[in-house]
Amino acid sequence: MPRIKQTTFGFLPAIILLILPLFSQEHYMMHIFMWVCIYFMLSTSLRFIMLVNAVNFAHAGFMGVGAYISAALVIKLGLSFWITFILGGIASAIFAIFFGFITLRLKGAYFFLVSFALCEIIRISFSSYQIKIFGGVNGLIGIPTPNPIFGLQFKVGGLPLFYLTSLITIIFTFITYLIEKCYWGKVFRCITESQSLAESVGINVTKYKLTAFVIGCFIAGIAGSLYASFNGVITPLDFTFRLSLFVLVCVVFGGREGFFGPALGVAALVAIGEAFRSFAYFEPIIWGACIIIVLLFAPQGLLGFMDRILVPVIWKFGKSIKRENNI
Amino acid sequence: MLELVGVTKGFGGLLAVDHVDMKINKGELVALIGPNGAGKTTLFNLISGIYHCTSGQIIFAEEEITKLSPNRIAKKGISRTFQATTLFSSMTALDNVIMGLHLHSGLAGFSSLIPNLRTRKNLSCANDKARELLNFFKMDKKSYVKSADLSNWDQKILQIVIALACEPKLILLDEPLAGMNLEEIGFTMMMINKVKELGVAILLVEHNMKAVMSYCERVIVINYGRKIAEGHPEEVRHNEDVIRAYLGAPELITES
Repeated sequence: MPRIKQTTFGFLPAIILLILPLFSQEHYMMHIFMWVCIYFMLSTSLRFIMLVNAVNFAHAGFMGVGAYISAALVIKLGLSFWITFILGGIASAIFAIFFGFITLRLKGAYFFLVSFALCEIIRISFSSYQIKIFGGVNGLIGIPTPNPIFGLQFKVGGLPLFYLTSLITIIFTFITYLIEKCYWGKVFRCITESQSLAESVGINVTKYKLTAFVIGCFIAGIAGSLYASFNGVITPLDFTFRLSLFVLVCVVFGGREGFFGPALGVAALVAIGEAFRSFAYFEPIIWGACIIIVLLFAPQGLLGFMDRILVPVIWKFGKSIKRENNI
Repeated sequence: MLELVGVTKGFGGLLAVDHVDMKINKGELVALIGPNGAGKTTLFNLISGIYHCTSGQIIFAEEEITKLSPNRIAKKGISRTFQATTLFSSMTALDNVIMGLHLHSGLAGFSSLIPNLRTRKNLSCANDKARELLNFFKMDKKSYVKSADLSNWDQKILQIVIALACEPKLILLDEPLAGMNLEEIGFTMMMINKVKELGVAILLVEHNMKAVMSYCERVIVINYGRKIAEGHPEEVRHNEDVIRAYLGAPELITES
């Protein structure tokens, strides 16, 4: 029985997402499509960090760092979006170097706990009125959309802005894909499987962990800058641990084994969230139910479920039809 | 080549290793024996840098390695296997060995972050080297088997292959013969001897006295963290302290 490549299922939601806006450019829907891109970037980069066995709960915080830095640079210094969105990512990466260098030595749940604390620290720091450029609890208002380039106007809710966001998303997630498929991906797997053996063959675990962490946080920072530019407003409350939680749920729900697991998770959870829009207040409960169902019936996530159960069933079904036709 | 001077390791009030001095020369096959809980594995962990000594010094190739991290010590030329078989279990045997070649395949740097021609060349080079090593240990037929699916014996051998892939000057083998039958023990000891012939020094922890006594050049006995005897297998076998602590009555040894 041949295993159908997992990419088949991963590509489907991505392509649907790219085509859908052509048919409906309703403002609300466009907003959701943009969010899906941001979620996809966040969850893919979180999964990338999870490849080295570090669950970063401060992912929303790092996104916030990127968003705030890029927005502040645009508003206060008047720099162009095309520079600041990279600078936002770099700021987040530098912050990740300092944080990761100290805390990545922690093993197991301890790193998770420290990053949980960091997420709140970042949010509270941004809420402070002491730092004037970040605007305190009110956040930053009036962040412009990207400057026109090649005659394209990037208006909120317009197609060009959406395709720009998705293009940047594709570029940066593709980088993590390349790294994972190359030799470094193998090293990451070694570290997850047995850190002691990895060290005894001479792998510098801290170096690899830190690099993965910094790359993941860089992408989160980029996602933050994109978010700031399409939303126009950012407040500290956009980057709470609830967002980290949602991203983590996406990774677990979609399956962390394959590269496209998070994409499936995002697609499924955003769809579920929109279906239960009227119960938005209870959303975390729905996520909890999703996690429990996945852990009970498909510990490998949706992707693993499709790969191990759905594909073989379809394959067998197809075979039996073929046999009947032959007779 | 490896020299331990007064190495001590305490866990709280317990001294797991207590002022151990020992020396391993180039290309030697030395056995470290002692009853369970004597501190053999702790000593291994101290040498390979997983623990750091409470006091004392470890000198390897005229350099002090007491406070180095495990990966730095591996770089200096000490590799090890683990008592509880430890492999990269979801990877194939070949990939396991390729990871063992990590330090010497030129892939450790940032240049192999993203696929490029040099990385590809280095990878295929590492691939050939890994195959050669597997051939050397007669494991070539199992190259593409997931290492978790290998038999216990193959896993133990694969551990040694990975340790040898690091191009070490000294290999620490932690119970390489555990759970093997007589025939497998014979083959494994033959393999270990072959490794020794390559000029690699071997320090081995083992409970199988017959293999230890017939293959090793020197035996070091520790009990309660202290070294109680050292010398030629024949001497150690008749040492009264050793008999009392570990071997048991003399007539039992001759039978086993």
